[in-house]
Amino acid sequence: MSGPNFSLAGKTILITGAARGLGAAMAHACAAQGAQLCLKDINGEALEATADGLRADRATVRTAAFDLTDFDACTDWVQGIDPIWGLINNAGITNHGHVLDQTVGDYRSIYDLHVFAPFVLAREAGRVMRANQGPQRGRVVSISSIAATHPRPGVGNYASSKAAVAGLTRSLAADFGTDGICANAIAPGYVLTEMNRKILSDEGFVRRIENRTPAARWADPAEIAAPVAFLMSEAASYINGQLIAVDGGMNAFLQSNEG
Amino acid sequence: MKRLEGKVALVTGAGSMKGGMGNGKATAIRLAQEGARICALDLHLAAAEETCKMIRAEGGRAVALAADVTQEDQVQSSITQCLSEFGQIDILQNNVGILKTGGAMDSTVEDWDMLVHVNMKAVFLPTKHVLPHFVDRKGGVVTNISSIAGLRYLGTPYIGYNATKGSIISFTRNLAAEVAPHGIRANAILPGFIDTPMARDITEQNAEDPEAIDWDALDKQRAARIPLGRVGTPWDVANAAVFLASDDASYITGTEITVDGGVSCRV
Ligand SMILES: NC(=O)c1ccc[n+]([C@@H]2O[C@H](COP(=O)([O-])OP(=O)(O)OC[C@H]3O[C@@H](n4cnc5c(N)ncnc54)[C@H](O)[C@@H]3O)[C@@H](O)[C@H]2O)c1
Ligand SMILES: NC(=O)c1ccc[n+]([C@@H]2O[C@H](COP(=O)([O-])OP(=O)(O)OC[C@H]3O[C@@H](n4cnc5c(N)ncnc54)[C@H](O)[C@@H]3O)[C@@H](O)[C@H]2O)c1
Repeated sequence: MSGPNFSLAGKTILITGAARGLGAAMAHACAAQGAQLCLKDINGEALEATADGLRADRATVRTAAFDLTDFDACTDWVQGIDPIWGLINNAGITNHGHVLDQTVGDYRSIYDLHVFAPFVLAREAGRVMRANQGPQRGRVVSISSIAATHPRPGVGNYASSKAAVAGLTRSLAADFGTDGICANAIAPGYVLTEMNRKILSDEGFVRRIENRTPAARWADPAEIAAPVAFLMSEAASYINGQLIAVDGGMNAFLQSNEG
Repeated sequence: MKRLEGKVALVTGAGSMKGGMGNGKATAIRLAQEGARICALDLHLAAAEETCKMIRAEGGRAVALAADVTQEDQVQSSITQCLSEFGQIDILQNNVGILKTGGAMDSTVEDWDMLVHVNMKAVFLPTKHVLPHFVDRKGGVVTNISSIAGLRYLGTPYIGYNATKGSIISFTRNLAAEVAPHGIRANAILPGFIDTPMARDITEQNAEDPEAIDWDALDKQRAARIPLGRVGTPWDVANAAVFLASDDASYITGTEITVDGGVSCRV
């Protein structure tokens, strides 16, 4: 009678952008449930430091350092891993600017990392996952953003690429569903990571975000990582094609004044 | 590893019609398996007792409460009973919902009023009366059962049901914004096509000859439209409820979690 559980014991999970921030938190959350990890980042040195920390906690960790926008390298990386249970598309960057100031190149470089790399990785990982035995064969979780549905001014390339992540997720769900592979996306609100270092130094901005978040605080990376680990587990076996907000209620709330 | 050790959950509609497995019953059982003590509330005491028996058989703690969630005094006394039994409530799972067939032209006013009365009060009243306790404790989790039927037309005219299920989404978002300053979270689960007694019952009601229903063929037909290739089980819904009730969801509020095998994400 007992349903499937939250354990990730023995499951191999690939995480991109795992050197720090949300990716590193996800690595810890998945390792805590028993997953074996294949971590990648463009920053090899930081990645090794994170991997060493995980190994000190007895996790099995393999690492790879390369630029995800090298799609042949993405293909080679995934093809070298078998079996694969999960793929977490997490690596991301920002390159903000007003629409009047942005070039096609500003859009393309963001789309390469946020949309095309996840597509290539999901395609290659999906091939491997399909060969898993049993009704449940794999999971893809991609990190979108609250910006996908509620951008602030000046983030058009970032926000539209994160909306594309949600669209890609729905198509992966539709294509891979019958193979027993679930694809979902998480839309974090504002999280305390290095990515936000610049805006975090702006007191006024920090307060504005707090005022617009019902929870009245920024998220800790572990609070984004735990839902990702849940979606990776067999307990989430019927959740497919969703964009799930993890944002302290921000998406449910439209502040009517500047506050 | 138990994720809800030390917590107490009040689950409404925790019985199940005809003794089968419903969403509320499965949720009560899963919450208990994760360590929570359970108040299983249902209109039908025998159905709630059956759920509690199953929980106790696995070593869990549960009490059955008979109440109609649309009656304010009964809701209040249920909460009082739950508190006197376990001393606290941490999780409110609003699962009660009823379904009636009909479009805008053929629904009767009586059916419409009944759907609004039951499905809306089922989220409002237990929430209203558990909140003072949650505020005192500076925490708590409310999870409301909506439906993907609240998002769009699903091929059968259920206009009253679908409208009430849609309104549970906006109720939940507003609730989340209101209570977040007290450390309380509120979310909705949107189940897809789940094999429960309620779902079978309505299919029988709508069939010309209920005896002639070919359930296997019907399941296959439904499954063909679902990306994951199967109809859902109450355990799928229950697992999402466990996750939302746990600290793993500490930054999730005002959100919907759809548990539908992907059926609502494709055409
Ligand atoms: N921090 C937030 O508030 C927030 C909110 C919503 C969404 N997100 C998303 O979450 C994800 C992680 O964000 P974070 O805050 O942890 O950021 P971060 O900058 O702290 O970490 C991102 C990691 O990705 C790596 N990376 C960047 N470009 C890469 C490339 N070309 N190839 C391989 N690795 C590369 C970086 O080296 C870094 O280790 C991103 O997709 C981001 O858009 C973050
Ligand atoms: N089965 C599905 O496919 C499906 C899909 C989406 C959403 N849902 C929702 O899930 C919830 C549970 O559905 P189910 O299929 O498990 O139903 P169910 O009918 O098997 O269980 C509901 C329980 O609620 C009890 N109940 C009804 N009215 C009550 C009242 N006024 N006060 C107290 N208890 C009352 C019933 O006695 C029953 O035991 C409902 O809200 C339903 O709308 C079901």
